Amino acid sequence: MSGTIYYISGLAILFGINLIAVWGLDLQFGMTGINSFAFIVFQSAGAYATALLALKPPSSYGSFETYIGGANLPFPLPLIGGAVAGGLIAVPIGLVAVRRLRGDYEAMALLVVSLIATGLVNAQTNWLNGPSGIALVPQPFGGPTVPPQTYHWIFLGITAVCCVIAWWVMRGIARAPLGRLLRAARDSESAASALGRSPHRLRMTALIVGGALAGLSGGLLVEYVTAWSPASWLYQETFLFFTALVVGGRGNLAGAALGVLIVPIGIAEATRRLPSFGYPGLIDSLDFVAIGALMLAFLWFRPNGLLAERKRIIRPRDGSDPASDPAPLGLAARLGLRRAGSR
Amino acid sequence: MPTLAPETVPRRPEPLLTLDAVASGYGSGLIVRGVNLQAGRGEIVTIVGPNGSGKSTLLKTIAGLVATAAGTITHDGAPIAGLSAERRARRGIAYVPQEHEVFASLSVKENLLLGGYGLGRRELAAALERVYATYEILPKLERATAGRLSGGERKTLAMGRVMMASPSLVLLDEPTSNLAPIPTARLLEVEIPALAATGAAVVLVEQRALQAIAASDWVYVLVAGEVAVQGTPADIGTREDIGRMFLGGGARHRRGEDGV
Amino acid sequence: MTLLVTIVLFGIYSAALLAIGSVGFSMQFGVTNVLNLAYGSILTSCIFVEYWITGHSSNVWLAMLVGALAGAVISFVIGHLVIGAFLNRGASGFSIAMVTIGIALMIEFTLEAIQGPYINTFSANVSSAITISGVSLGGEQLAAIGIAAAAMVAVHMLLRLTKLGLAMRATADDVALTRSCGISPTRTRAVAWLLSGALCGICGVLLGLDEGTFSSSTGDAIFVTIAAAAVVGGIGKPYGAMIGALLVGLVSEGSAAVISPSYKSIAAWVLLIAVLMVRPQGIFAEYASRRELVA
Repeated sequence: MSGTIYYISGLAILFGINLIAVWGLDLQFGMTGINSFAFIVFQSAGAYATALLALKPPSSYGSFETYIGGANLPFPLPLIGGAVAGGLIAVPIGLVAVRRLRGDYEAMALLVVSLIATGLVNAQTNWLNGPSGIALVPQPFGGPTVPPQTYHWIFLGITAVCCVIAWWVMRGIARAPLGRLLRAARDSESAASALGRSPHRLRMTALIVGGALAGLSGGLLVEYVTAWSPASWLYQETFLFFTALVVGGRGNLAGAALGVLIVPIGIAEATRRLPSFGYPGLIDSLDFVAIGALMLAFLWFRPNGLLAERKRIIRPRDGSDPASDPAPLGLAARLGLRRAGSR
Repeated sequence: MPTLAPETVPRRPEPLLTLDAVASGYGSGLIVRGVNLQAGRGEIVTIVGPNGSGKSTLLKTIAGLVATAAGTITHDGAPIAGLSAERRARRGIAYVPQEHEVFASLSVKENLLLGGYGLGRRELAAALERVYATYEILPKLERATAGRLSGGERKTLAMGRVMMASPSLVLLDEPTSNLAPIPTARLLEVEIPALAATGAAVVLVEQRALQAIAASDWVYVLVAGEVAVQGTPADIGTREDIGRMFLGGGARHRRGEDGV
Repeated sequence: MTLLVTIVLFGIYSAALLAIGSVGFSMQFGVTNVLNLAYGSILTSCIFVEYWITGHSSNVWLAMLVGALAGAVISFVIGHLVIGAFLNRGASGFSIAMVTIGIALMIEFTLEAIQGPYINTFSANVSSAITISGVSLGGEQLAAIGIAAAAMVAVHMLLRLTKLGLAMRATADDVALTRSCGISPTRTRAVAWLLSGALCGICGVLLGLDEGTFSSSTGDAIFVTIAAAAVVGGIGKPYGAMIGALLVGLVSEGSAAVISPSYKSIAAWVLLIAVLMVRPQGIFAEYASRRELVA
């Protein structure tokens, strides 16, 4: 029984961690329309940054691994550093993404960026310990004296607080003019330009904020699992998040949550509890086959996902009918109105 | 639909192409809304109208590049609205788009060979010879890449490509756009009449309305996806409300005035 | 001097292998307008099929035949039937990219599920055939260069001298105009999928024999290098892909020799990104294709 509670609380932690990442992806892809196929790099940047900030210098562990830094900062500074790193890595990636290539071309370019990042970390073993990755990342409020189940509750609390922060950021953006601008830039670049905003800057903003959320998620993940290596962030993981978003539904927070529940938790994590069969890792392989099939099935049968983005009709605050009195509406609002009508 | 008094209706050839209440468009919106139109062998039919009136869409609908949403299209006695663009082409319907009218990356000769793709080896050689004889500039440019040709040369090449298959119906979308005055005049006054003289029905869409109207046998004025007026060039040229139609206003608004 | 000879010889050799794959990839993109991110997994499955069928046979010709047939069939099923069905539904470019990645994952992990995360080994015997300035190329390597050259000539003859090739180039240039000439793009697309799959299979088998080992993820890295060659040469342009392959081959071997072998692929990928940023239509593209590569 206690094993079941341990297992479920662990799944809840992973749900929260993945949810923050998928919200970040939703901001970049769902709301802004960037085909962010390098998404896992944001999460990974956060994970590595958090690890380096939380760890002591390599010499303290008898130099059993090599990496740059080791700041040994207390909680929550490493997590904040992870979020900042996720936002910062958006700048070089953004140079590729703001180029506005054709959708599939952009996807390929960012996929390659992701592979280059993995390749560099593997090749430069002195940066982040190469293919072996970084281990022994200290857990906040953790230690040998804390029983595992108690620690699960502690970590679940930390994750929940982070989720609330992420939710607050996403909610704020979705309701603020920025959210409408991002959607405008996604649906029609000229519309965004007409509103006096550079679509490039809007896309960059979405990349940075989404990247920071992914970085936070990566930071949490590395503190939870205490290790991070290039095998943790293969390009398939990006596809896992995309599948979650396509299954759940783009452009709304609940859709992302539903998607996370089904894809990374329901398929990728929960199946680890199945009695193992075949060689080690066979279940993981089958998970990815299932995820690929799920993606195809949803793109075929339900391309808008389980919870489709609401059509937005923007009404003036006094609740009057906008069609009868368009005067108090800004251009952005009228734009939203027209979009809703034209679909 | 406004009709002219019976005694002034001129004789038109037996229709090769008949559109009956044809509607079409992209996605859910209709751009062409119930068009009736005929073109006979050897006839030059011009469709004019203000920007956005659906002229190009209408032509693409006949060519099969835009699906027919409603109505029937009859070509040479058979309904063709359900056929794909390539099947219509094989039936003898040729289409020259306004832009990208040639295969830019291919040579002039390759463009022409594609025009006669359905022909056998011997017919193909004969067709090439015939087209080279008609358009004397083409054999000189045979090996040139089509994308490098001037605007006038590209139009000539497009006409030559169309001629390869000896089509019974030729659809030309704004053939004189981007053309200098002399090639425009040559196209409208020499090349298109020569095409019609081979027995083909020519349907063209034109922005330069007056010049094109003068060179045609029958004119349709398309406004907001509907035929507002049709008649001979002489009839259309004398109507006072043509100018107003081009300047805008809805077709509905005008229909009342057309009852004159 | 030896360094330069090494770079050039192995650069040409890499380019020859790459060119087979990137010509197929580029031609298929040109004719079908689908960026096939599952190309690498088709390549991997060809190596597997070849390994299962001919086993450890060292007969290169038989292996290539099997690889080419497997590639043609798999590519046709994936491209023409599955992706074609999504295209008929009006799926966007990005959806198609998702579909191709989904297919790639399904193939890759199905192979992994069948085979396990193990590395398979071909028992190829490499012999030294020619030596220039102390650098040796093996008989298999020379044969691979010869096969690549023959494949390039064959593709050239198909595209330039046959009616089918003309129709394929016309489809790549302008689909609507091609249809207006009475040519069904469905047929030319089917041929493009078949042919690119066959080239992919040959490329995969030669690479597999060359490396001696392969696993279910072999195609991933190779695919990006193939794509790099195609993009550098102007994607959709088979002739550009040949030059692109040469450039990418030289850059890879150069950085492997000068920086470190672990940079062999990374250099090619960075080149891919650089070209995409500066000149998405490719370095050698004379005419930008009708289709927009920049949104």
